[in-house]
Amino acid sequence: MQEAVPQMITTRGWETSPSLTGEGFDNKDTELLSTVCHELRTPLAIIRGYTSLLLDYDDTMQRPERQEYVTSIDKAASRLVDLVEYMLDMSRLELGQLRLDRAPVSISSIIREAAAEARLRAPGHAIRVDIESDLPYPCIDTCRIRQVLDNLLDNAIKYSPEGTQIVVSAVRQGTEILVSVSDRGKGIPSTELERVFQRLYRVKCEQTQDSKGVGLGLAICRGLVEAHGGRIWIASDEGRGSTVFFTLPILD
Amino acid sequence: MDDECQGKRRILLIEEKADIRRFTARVLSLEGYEVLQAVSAEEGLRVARNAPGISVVLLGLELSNHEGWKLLKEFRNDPELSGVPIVVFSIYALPWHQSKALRMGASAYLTMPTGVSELKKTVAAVLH
Repeated sequence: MQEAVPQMITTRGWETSPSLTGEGFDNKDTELLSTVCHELRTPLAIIRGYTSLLLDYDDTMQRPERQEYVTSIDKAASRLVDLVEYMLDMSRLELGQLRLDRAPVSISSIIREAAAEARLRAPGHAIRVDIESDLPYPCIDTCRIRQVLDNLLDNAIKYSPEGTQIVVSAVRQGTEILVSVSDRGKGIPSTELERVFQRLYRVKCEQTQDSKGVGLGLAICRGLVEAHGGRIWIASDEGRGSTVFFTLPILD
Repeated sequence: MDDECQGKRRILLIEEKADIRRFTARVLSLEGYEVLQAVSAEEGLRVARNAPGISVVLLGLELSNHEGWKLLKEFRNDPELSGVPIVVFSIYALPWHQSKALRMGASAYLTMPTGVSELKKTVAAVLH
């Protein structure tokens, strides 16, 4: 994948928006650009700062200190890569250019793998898997559905306290497989439930008081699930947790 | 103030993001300043009021809930602190952002990402 970042700005709703050619950006475009620039600048500040620190003071530093800075640079660079991938996915979805590499696969295996890796990322949470036996194989793009699961699991981890349980389940419902990821976090007010799949929607993280990310994760999940012919929605009991559901059609 | 810190210029650094704070504090301490650190507007104001002899305040504008801007105003309106120069830093490079900060009484505006030399130069210029 060699798409240049500036190309993203030529996606539908950005460059072709009439408002961009006339009286400037519309509010949504400006908000998206501003959010993206903000999100890019933070890791860039870390990379630039620590790189110049290492260059200017290398002779005064011991190895552990250098290691510490290089680790920060590495994390910031990974964050930049993730952000660029998010933006590219969003633009592909908006342009209808997302290509799915579909094959019949075991959704149980994908869920188990995603849960196993999430346990490594969040050892403080109890991540449980509850899957109906003998589920049929849906015809899906493994990487993309794994991306959806990772995103939902990361949200569940981020917005629920350590020591609580996260459950990933999958059952057959007629001609679909219904997958859900539920957490026992603070939940989302009912007035906001409709908005969570819109791009730029962000829930403030209780622990950090930070609205992490660009607010594209769930919008991308929706695009990916819908590209598979499925649906995605959320149910939340404020104060008791949230569950995100999505379906995948079973093709005969 | 311990012996080692005697004679050093004292700088108060107020920034929420640990990575940015660590970088800034490290550069300034390598340059021979004594750096006091605060992670929130509330803590920054408390330290500023209680620690004597602060030569300059470095204030990150992107504190939660727009606290950076509020804090800048609060510093300028506080008779005890209004004379202390403030260098604000921000990840926004917008001209109106810079002029607003300068109009509100900041002595300098640093745009992140910044390197060591810009940081050193800006602080030195404000101090001299």
